[in-house]
Amino acid sequence: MFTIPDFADLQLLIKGCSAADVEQALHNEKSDIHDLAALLSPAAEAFLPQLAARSAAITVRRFGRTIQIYAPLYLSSFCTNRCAYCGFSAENKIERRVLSIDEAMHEAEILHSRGFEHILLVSGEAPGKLGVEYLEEIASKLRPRFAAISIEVQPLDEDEYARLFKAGITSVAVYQETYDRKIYDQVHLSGKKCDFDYRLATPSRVAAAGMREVGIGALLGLSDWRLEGLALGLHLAWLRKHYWRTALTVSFPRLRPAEGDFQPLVKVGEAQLSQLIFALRIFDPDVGLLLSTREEARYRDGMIGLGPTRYSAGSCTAPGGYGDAEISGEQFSVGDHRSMQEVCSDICHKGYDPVRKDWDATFQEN
Amino acid sequence: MSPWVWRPATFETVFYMEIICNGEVKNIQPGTKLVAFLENLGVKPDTVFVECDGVILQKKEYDTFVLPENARLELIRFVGGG
Amino acid sequence: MLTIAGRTFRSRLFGGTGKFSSSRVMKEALDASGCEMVTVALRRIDLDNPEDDIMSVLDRKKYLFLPNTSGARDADEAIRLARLARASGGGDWLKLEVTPDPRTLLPDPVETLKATEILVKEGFIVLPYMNADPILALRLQDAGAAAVMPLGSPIGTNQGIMTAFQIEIIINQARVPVVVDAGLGAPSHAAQAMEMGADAVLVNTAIAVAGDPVRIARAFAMAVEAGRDAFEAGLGEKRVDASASSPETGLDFLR
Repeated sequence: MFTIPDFADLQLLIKGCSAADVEQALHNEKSDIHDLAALLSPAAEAFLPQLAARSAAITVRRFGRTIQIYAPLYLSSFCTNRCAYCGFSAENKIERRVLSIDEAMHEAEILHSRGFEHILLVSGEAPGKLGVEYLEEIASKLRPRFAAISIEVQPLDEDEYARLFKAGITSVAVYQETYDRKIYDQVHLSGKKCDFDYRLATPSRVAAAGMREVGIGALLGLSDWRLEGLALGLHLAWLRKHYWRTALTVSFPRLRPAEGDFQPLVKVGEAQLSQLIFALRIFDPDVGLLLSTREEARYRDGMIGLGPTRYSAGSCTAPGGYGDAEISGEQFSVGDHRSMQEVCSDICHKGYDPVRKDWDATFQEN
Repeated sequence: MSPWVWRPATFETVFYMEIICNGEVKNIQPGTKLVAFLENLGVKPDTVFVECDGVILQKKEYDTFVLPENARLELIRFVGGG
Repeated sequence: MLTIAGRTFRSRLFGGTGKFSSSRVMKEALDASGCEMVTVALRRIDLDNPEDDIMSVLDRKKYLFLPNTSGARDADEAIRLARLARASGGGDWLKLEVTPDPRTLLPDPVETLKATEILVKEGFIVLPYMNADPILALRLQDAGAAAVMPLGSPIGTNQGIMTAFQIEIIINQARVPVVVDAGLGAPSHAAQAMEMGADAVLVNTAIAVAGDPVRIARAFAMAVEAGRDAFEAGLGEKRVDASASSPETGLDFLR
């Protein structure tokens, strides 16, 4: 079972890193956890352009000049957890809804007509409102229309993931939010999500169930981002050793303004976010790196080719928001308001190919 | 008895029977125990393992195991190998 | 210390017992090599020469016998040999080799995987000899192999590690120990395997056929130790060109 070292111990890895360590890490053919520590350390800040160059070189060699495009489809804003930082937190007085299957299909049709082939189904954690049967049904209906269907919902058990894979879902994102157990306990006030270890073991269950891809991530703004980066590296390396058939991705959601007045506990600026992305890219050349519409258009355009491989576009984070622009109750407010076409044309402008599909769920034999 | 070998009805065919050991025909007395057979061949029993009609015999069986007629015996030991 | 299937080994050099000029030379060479595990083959007794028991010179308390299935051309034959080997009372250890092509003696991946799956279920500690194929290594690991034994080059060729790139991937990915087997013709080859991070090497021909097997066995032992030390010390890695920021990777957009 994957366990995460105490953040105080991880801190020791980063603490002594010097400029020489950073230079060494930049030149190493393969990088280990010590190299990652060096690349995440304060000493690496002065080397940000070199980190960017190395990250860009690795990314283009492994992924070519492509950026994958997807859109989230919010299914439900009901949630039984109280998480201090989240707009869907159970105690927030927002208008909540769960889409009926027909409503969800209507939203999906809108995304399809806008050109999306890869769809990410998102919901709050309220199994009573949105359970495995619901996801199964919607996946089997979406499957003929979309090339890839991902989910970001409550953690499930292995057999449930296996059922969803059979229904056509190919990838699961489940973010630890923070790998810092102390902070985790502080910000998760009540609900099933309070169980740090169950959540930490979720990517393993996803992989064991046979999903093609599992996404991990940390919400930036809760604890020391350098240590979150190290923890993500350890988690990636462990998953690679134990589930070699499963592709891995990492997301870097920075806390966005949301319902409920939560202020980030630590500030993570764009330079820090970039350092984290470059460091993880250098550490793991094969990992998919996601950059969502939480970030502003200017930043996302700037990062094209430097490390990230997958962008969301045209996102709305409220259930039903694609069909009804007036709808309220979003999870967070997005930072990039461009349409998918605009995002794609900007990607093309940079000399990259926006890829809307790289797999067909219909190829899967079940 | 091998059908393609003609043998006159002699003393031997009455009191001996055939087994095949490592591909060679051997005549033994009915009731011969494995350990006696091995010693007669000049093989130390503890240096060898034995498969009889596809079944591997345990070392502790060597003293009591009676070779059946037409048994296909394989006597095997460790040899040099990489 | 190296651990395979719960058993620890001080020496990371495994010996073979084939091709020696005499059992006396074999014993002396193996003693000099410091190895604790030796491979042995299974063969029918030569009825014309039944006293010829060369293995009797080796103390089985000192050497763990790793019976191989050499000569097996498919999974069924290998399984039969494996069961025979177990009947020898030497435990459940097995070097699985399935080599249908008598010319190259290259291992058959399909039959090897099949036999591994079955033998693991029967409780064998299976160490499969395999081509240096990373996916095959993972499949064998998933099937329950206790270690994987990728070849450096075809058996007996003394060509060294012709499969370095693949073996490096195997070492990076595997959770079970990686033992580089076959083709290591010189102590430098063994050292190279150890520097790459292999957990152990298996050497037979290069020791058995050398001018002075006892001396070269010692040389291999030192090379394996040196290589392991180097790996653990952390070699200065090959440097790649990490050019400084070019206009292309400017970060002016950051706020």
